[in-house]
Amino acid sequence: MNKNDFKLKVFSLSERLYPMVARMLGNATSTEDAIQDIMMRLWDKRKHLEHHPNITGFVFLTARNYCIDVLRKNKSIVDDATPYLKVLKSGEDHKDVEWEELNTIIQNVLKALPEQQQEVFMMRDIDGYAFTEIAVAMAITVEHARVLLSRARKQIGIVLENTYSYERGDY
Amino acid sequence: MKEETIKTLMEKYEAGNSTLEEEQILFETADASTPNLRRWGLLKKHIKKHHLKVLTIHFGHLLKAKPLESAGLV
Repeated sequence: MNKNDFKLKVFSLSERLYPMVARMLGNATSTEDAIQDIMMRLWDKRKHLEHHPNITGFVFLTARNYCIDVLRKNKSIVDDATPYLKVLKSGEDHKDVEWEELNTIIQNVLKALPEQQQEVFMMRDIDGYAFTEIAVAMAITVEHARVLLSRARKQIGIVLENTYSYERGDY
Repeated sequence: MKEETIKTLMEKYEAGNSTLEEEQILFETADASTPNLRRWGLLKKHIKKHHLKVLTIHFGHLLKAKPLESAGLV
């Protein structure tokens, strides 16, 4: 794979990687650095990539694995994340209370979901990826991705329904 | 948008069968008459705004790297 092919087939996917890498790693600077690192890794593997049957999938999976490596190395951040989450604000005062309530609910729901459901939910509903992209990044089939997403959405829906049923007088 | 259409889209959404375009339409039409949908929309908006990195930071260490060979699956 020459420089032009790489630019066309691999580097052009940088923008599609951005939401997932940004969500997984955090601030914009580290995301840009990470994408550059990922592209460097892919460039080193360009000979292997040339004959790969699914270049897009390989790129997504490389990016995801890279983020997991970084998260593992920075595991200590996990213990400090809660205070940050608590100070997230909506920017619209009248919605802050609702946002904080939702924030707590969603954290509790996600904690209760199996890991694969958490991942699929975040990749689809937060990052906005297509099922084919989610499937290759997670090394599962599209059908499996749909099933996992459906289970996650239904579970979150049930919790939202139960939490707010008082608004309809269903208590 | 008609209530029936929203209901159909919501069913597709919950079943994991909606397209990204349908999901966008669904959340754009959420209002006071569809409170749970509105909350979903609010949640998504905020998560996107903040990239909700903390969610992955909270749960990311649990994630498992997948073998690169598996990218040929689909």
